[in-house]
Amino acid sequence: MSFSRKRDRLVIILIILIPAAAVSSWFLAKSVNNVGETHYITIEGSNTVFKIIDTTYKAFAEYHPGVIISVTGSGTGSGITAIIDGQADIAMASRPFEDTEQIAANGSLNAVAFAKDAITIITHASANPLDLTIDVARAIFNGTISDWSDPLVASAGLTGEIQVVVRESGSGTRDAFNELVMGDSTQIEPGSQYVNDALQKSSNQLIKDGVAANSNYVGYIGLGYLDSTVKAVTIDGVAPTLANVLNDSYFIQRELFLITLGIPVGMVYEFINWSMSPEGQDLVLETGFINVAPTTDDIFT
Amino acid sequence: MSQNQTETIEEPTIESLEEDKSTSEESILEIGKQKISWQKIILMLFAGISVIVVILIFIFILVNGLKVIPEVGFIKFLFGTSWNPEADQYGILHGIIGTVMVVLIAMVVAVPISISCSIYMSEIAPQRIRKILKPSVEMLASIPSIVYGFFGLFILVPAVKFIFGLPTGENALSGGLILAIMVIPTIVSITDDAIRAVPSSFREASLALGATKWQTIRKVVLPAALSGITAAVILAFGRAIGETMAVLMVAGGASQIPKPFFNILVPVDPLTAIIARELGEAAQGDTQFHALFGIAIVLFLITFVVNLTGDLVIKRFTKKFKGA
Repeated sequence: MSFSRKRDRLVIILIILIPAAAVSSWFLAKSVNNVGETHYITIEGSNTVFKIIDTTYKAFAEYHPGVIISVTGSGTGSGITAIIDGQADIAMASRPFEDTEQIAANGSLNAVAFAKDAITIITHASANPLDLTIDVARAIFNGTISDWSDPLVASAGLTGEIQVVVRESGSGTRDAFNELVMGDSTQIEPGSQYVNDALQKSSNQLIKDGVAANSNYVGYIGLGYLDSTVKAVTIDGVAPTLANVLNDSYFIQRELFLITLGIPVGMVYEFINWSMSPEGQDLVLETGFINVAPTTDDIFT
Repeated sequence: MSQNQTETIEEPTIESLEEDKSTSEESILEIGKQKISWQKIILMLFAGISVIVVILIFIFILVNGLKVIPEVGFIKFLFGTSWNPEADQYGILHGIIGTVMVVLIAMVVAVPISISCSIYMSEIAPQRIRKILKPSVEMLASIPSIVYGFFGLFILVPAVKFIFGLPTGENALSGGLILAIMVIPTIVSITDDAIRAVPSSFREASLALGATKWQTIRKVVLPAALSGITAAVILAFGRAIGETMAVLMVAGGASQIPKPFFNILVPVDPLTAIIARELGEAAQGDTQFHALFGIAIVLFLITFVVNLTGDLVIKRFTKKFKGA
């Protein structure tokens, strides 16, 4: 193998050119970003809240051309970590932030409750309407009641062993359910743990799919995921509907938050502010959740 | 003394050989008399990248995972029976048992099927059947694991639920069966190569001595291919232990230890499924986060020990059959 002088030169030129091109294109890209009114908002967090933001961000972007928003449903804990690390601007959360998280953020976490969610217990679509008290609901999920023939649940008309389906550890939905129904969000209190063979799924959708496909399954999902493939359970005679959450009669409900590091400014402030406006709250309603501020209907009637 | 006096022919010396080399290769490095060309350096670099990546991944997992020992305690972590991050309980015994159960089921099902398949493909099948069979089996290997997960969830799980009359079809058996389907192509591929690598002189000698074809396969070909077959099984073992998506969707994910311990018809939670399901919600720097990385270390170690054992077994077999 022989190399001519020409080839040497070519190699050396390439070795210098390629990194130079990379570096200069990086500078170019950076300067393009600053030209014109282009804003980036990164939103990460709860799968539950994602269902709302996935719709609202598109509407917001229409009102504000030049804003590019990316939304990822990676879990409440993940989202809060992301804003603390500076990887995201807004965290979607289906629970208030914890003390440990506030400490990690040096006390600067700022949460805005912009919607409400109700958790509904669901059974197979073929079941008769089932009404439970919180105590009976807890008994089902902790395994005390293990068969559909038990007199407390027999009215559903289902047969076989009850198979409980729940969310995974760390889920905001699971935390809220544990707090409100099981009696202890840390599940230390006796009777607050799920039955041993409870299936753990990593999203609302998977729980709903499982319950829809198996007549002996029972699980819980956020209200926004309720549809005709499953049947919702009433609590103390109160159905999980919009009206019942707004008038506080439905027991299993919680607030949903948009969290930022410090008081939001600029486009991030605009987005959160818009989410609380009548147009934003309209969309909260549309996606199957409950508004906390007046909607356009409320204002004009 | 006499050797020196008879030396009249000039033999090529090391120096003159190197002179020839240097006119045909550009070298940028000289270490004493050794000249390393720039091609060698680039190739070394690329080879080194894979080593560096493995080391970096290992360090990353160690740094995040070892923190679980001071925070939770070695015995409590490995042998604790309760996994409840909300209550600061991080025992992964149920995970270890879950992994062991699905992997054992997978190997018990896959190994006989795969070895039989490779024997058929390489020794018995006519060429035109082998032409169809081999690519089909290898195509099984290219199916993404999430697709296997869907197949398991929508076809296998309801079938298992119906056949055994269970409250749920998501259990260790379903997990093991899906894993078996996923490792069959691995074992078949390597075993097939191992069997074909056995020299045909072995077979010819055996047949010439009057053995039947089946006797030849059983007593001559298979023992000769044994080191390759062992390697295939070890590799499949490693793949089954690390498989995540399929067992996440199919094994149930129940944080429990089956009672009795050999009950394969109840939901279990393999180690990989625990990580996949909870890592998204674990706050970084949290004990739960470190515990999940601790599980990764455990998986790393199990795979390492399995591979090490496999290498030793292969060495012993090779010595036994290739002669001391």
